[in-house]
Amino acid sequence: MKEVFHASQVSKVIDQALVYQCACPAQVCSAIFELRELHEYQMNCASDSVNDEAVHNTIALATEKAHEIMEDCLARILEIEGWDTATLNIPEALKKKAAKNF
Amino acid sequence: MEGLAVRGYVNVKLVNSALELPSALESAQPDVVIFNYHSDKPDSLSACTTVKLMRPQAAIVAIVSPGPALKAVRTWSLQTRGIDVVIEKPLSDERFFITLQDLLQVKVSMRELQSKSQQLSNLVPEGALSAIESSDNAESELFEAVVLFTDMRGSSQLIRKMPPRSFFNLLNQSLSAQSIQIRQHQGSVIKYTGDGLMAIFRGTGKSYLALQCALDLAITSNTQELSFGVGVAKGMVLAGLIGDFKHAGQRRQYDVIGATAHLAARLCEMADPGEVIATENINAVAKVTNPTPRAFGKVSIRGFNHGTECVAFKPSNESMGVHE
Repeated sequence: MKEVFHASQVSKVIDQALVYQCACPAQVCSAIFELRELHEYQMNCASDSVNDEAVHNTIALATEKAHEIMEDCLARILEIEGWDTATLNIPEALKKKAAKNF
Repeated sequence: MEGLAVRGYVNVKLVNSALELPSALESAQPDVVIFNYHSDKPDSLSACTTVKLMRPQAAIVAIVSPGPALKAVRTWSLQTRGIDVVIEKPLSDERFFITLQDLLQVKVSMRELQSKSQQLSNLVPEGALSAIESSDNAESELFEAVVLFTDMRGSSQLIRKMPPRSFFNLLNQSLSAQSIQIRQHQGSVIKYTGDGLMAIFRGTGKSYLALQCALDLAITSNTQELSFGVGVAKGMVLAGLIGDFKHAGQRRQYDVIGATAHLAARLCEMADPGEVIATENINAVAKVTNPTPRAFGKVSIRGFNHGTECVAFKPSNESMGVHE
C-alpha cells in the first residue's frame, strides 16, 4: 500500500495533539494508522479457500482507497491549518487555542 | 494541567525533562505518574525506569500515539513491566479521567490494606506469617533455640492497689520495653503471657545474645515498679500454627513448644526479681563471667528424669558496667 506520510510523521502530528489539545488532525492520523494495521492484517491473514482470498483482497482494496483518501485529507487539513510540512510542528496560532473539552 | 486542576487534581507537578524527574519524585512522592511519550524520543522511556526505581508504589500511565510507537511502548512495557497503563493519543478526556480515577482509588485501597496489614502483623509473632504463607501451613518446624521467659513479681498485689487502667498502662509500658530489648538482641517475641512474655533466639550467636538480653532485662527490672525474673533454656523446640486450619473462622495461634520451653518457664518461676536463671549449656557457649554466675544446681521438669544443670546471675548496674 502506498504511503505518503511516514509513520514517524503521522506519530508526530498525534504527539502534538495531546500537548496543545488540537486533536482533529490527530484523529485523522489515528484513522490512518488503523487503516494501515487493517491492511497489514489482511495481507497476512491465512487464506484456506478461494472465498477467503477474495474476502481479504476486497477488504485490502477498500482499505487502500480509504487510506489514500485519509492521507489526502491529512495533507489538506495540515495545509489549511498552516502546519510546517517539513517539521510537522503545530502552528503557533493553534497552540493558543483553548481546550474545548479537557 | 488546567484540565487536571478543574477536575480537582490540585497536587500536580509538571516535569519537563528527565533531569528534573528525580527531585520531583523526591519532593512530590506521587501516587500516579502520567508520562507523555513522544515517538521521536524513544529513549525517554528510561524515565519510567527512574520512576519505578525511585517510587515503586507509583502507577505509571503512559500516553502514546497509536501505530509503531504504541507497539514499541507495549513491547517495552511487557519486557520491563515499567508501565502500568497505556492510553492512546489523541486523548479522550473521559477515558483518561476514568483511568486516572480508577488508579487513584486502587492506590488508596492499597495504602489502607498495607496499613491494616502492618497493624495485624504487629499482633502476630514473628515467624507466624511465614508459617501461614508456607505451602503446607499445618507443618511444624523443629529447630534449636534459646527460649526466654519473663514474669513480673507482685503483679497480683499491685493490681489490687492500682486502678485497673493505670495497671494496664504500667504493664504495657514494661512489656513494650522488654520487647524492644529482645528485638535489639535479635530475638523474637512469641507471645505475651499476661504479666510476662516468651521469646526465642535462634541462629548463630543465640546463646550469647539471649543471655546478654536476659541480663539487660534483669537490670531494667531493678529500675521498675514491676520487677520481674527471667528464665532462659536452650534446646530443641517445635514451632508452628496450633489450631484448626481447615475451617475458616477457627482460632489459630503460632506457638513454640517443647521441653525447652517448659524448662525456661520453670526457671523463670524460680528466679527472684531481677535475677536470671539459665541452663548451664547456654553459659558454656556465652561464657559470661561478669556478673559472676552462681551454680544453681539441677532443675527438673515433670516428665523428665534427668535434671538440667543451671546457673543464676544477679546483675547490677555496677556489675554490668552501667553508670547512671
